[in-house]
Amino acid sequence: MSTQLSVSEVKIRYRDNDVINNISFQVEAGHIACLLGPSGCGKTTLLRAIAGFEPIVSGEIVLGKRKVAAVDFAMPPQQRRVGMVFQDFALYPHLTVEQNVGFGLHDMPADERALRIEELLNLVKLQAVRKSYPHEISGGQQQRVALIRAMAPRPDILLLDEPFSSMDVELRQSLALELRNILKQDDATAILVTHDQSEAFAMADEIGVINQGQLAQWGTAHDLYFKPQDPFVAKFIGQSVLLPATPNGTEQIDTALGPVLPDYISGSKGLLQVQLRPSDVAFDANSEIKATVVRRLFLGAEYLYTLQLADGQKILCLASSDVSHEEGDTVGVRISAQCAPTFASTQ
Amino acid sequence: MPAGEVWQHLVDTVLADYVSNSLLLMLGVAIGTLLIGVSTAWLTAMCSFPGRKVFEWALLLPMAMPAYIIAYTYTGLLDFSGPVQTFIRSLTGWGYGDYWFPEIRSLEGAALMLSLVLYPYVYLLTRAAFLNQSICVLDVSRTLGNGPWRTFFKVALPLARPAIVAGLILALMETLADYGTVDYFGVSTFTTGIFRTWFGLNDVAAAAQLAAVLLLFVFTLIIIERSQRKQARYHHTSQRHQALKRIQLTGNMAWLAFGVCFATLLFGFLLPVAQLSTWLLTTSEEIIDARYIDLVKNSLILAGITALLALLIALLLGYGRRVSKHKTTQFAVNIAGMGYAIPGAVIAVGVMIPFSAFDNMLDAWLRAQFDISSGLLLSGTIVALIFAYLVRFLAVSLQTVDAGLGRIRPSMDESAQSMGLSTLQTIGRVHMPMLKGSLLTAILLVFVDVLKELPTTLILRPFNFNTLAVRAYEMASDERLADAAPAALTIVAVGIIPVILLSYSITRSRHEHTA
Repeated sequence: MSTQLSVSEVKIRYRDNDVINNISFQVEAGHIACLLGPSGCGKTTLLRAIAGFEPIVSGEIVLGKRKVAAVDFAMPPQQRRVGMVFQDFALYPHLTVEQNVGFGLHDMPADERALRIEELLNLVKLQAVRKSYPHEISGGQQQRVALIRAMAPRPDILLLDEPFSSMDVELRQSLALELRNILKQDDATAILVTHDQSEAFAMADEIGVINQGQLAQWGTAHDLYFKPQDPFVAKFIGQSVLLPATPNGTEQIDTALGPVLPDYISGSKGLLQVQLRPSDVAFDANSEIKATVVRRLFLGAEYLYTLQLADGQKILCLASSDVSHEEGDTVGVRISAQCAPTFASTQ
Repeated sequence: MPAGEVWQHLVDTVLADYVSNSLLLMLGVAIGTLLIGVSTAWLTAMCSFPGRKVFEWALLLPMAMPAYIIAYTYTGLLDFSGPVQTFIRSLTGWGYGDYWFPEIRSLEGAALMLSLVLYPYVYLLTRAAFLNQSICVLDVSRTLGNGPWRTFFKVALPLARPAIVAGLILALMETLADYGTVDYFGVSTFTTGIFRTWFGLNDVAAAAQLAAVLLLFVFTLIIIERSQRKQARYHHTSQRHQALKRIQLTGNMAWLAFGVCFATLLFGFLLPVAQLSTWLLTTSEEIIDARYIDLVKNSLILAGITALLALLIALLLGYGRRVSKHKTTQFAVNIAGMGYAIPGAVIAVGVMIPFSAFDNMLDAWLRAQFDISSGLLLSGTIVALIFAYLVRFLAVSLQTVDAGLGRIRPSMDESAQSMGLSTLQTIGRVHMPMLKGSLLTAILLVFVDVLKELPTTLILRPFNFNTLAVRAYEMASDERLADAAPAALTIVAVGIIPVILLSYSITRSRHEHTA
């Protein structure tokens, strides 16, 4: 395994604002990474900096063995050997599918080019529409053309900017899995940018969560979900609430829902907060802690309850739909989890 | 007369006439273009009757006919010795003075002529607005108990109002810019006033003052147009667009609809072209000679050079605006595109004054220093003429180029770049293939506009330099209407090209809509 892309302490400034602030990460060859974050967090800007469309003010970007961006240095995009799939696909309307795919292969001998186009069209099963123009094919087909067009010159890295944003919601997950398959078959290294965690989970080997221009956490989907290192990640990935907690002299810490054992404590100073997922909270008629049902959402096998504690805090609770509580009911609750991630932060 | 006094003289004597005649003419053209334009737009957009598909594009044909040419043609048709009156006399045995016949060479006549060729502006925009209206809003009106006619007046017409006004404003701007028609019909308006003051009284300052007052009228129209355009955004009634179901006209109603559209086409295009063709057959042998070939050559050179220059400048400005998002750039490009609203006579005066001042200065300096004369370097040559054309018609190519550039999204540039293409390669392999059509259209549109333009050419042409438009004007002014036909018909024939382009792009955009 070798490192294909290395981003070190990169800072990007836009009109005196640091839109990306000291971000570092590496992507191994053949891996698919994902930059995940809410809209406006700077993830697309970072992607465009890797492609060469935005300058960086500090840090450096190394692609393969070549340094492509540093302070006061930016290799022009056309020399970087990156492939980019744009949000709007940017297919050329005056060229057929085949010509679009071959567009970046201008330095290749004709027979080799034909071979590569053939191989890619086979890979995404688009042989039938090779002579069609972009407006004559479906959105899903357009996306696959945009993908193989970017893959055709065998770039050092493939950059995908919100590739599913123009797709039907129902299609996204299956398309994401399909895309992952295609990339893996071609041994491509890729970075995907998205705001949708289910897309990130379906496609990526590792995910970087970006919050307000900073890298909150870099890890696998499993790690982000079960071992969040940061209160933002805890709230952003999956559903959860953060309850304030205080040490009580034992191994456990006290919360409004009773004591709980910290799984680990991330951070070293400031107020403590415990992450509770809806499945970490259970009804218990014998519990002394009472809560009022504010809202109830039927999910099929389960109900998702929003409960309000005596001090006004709201918590989530996932419970089997065998038993049901009405909105307005007062119920007893407790923490059912053995232990929970805990954060010490000054915010 | 000393300077300043001419202006006072104008104010005392003719200015009131200019204002009232221009206003009356605008009123007449407004009534004419609205009646013809809105009714034909409604019929071809909302109804189904024999010939509708042909009328859809054929009703644009009068756009190819410059107003001064249709004016000459109808004068020939309707004056005492023309075929119509001759026919009436032969039928009744009347002689001169025995009967009353409407005088076409009048203010009403001018309004009628202008309406016959300017209504397509109203027709085009109104029809598009009707087609954009979702059938749902009309159906709602029907379910609420309104008949089709009531629905038209209560719903469809008010919804189309911004488009109707926009079309009307364009027609009125052309009316203000017209010189050939009003001059020939002896109606005193601002443009004829500018000519008379310039050539007759030789008073440049007073001509410029008249031009300034005319500009005031134009700017009023522009302001009205802008405010209407803002409103138009609120007139999109529904996101969900359902295709129109046309009202099937039958029996007498179908014939009436056919009659209205056919009469419009007949009087606005077919009849004048037929008359011009008849004249052409009788005069072609003596008129089409070496001098006529010279005319055509002059016109083609002027139109060709202007069209190419306009395209180059438009490309420069269009790319400038694309690359630089700077406010000053955007503003400057917008200013460069405003010339189309300014009457040709005003632009000619505005170009003539600084250019001849420069020429005289240069000449005086060269005489004093080196005892040589540069003559009229700019103002007496086609340089001034082409410059004025560029000021007036740059907007046409700029709009076309901008529309073409708009289709090339920034991501397409970036994608080409990331696939290893340099900027020049990107322009060659992506931009040029995608722009090809727009560039050709831009050249054609400016070419035809220059060919038709009369007042600018009359004022700025070099001595003894004639074009087709000038020749048609001169022949007609000498009452040699038949001899004007070859030049006139050539202009009309070339003028049909953009009309074809226009109707083609309309049908194509509709197909894309339904696809």
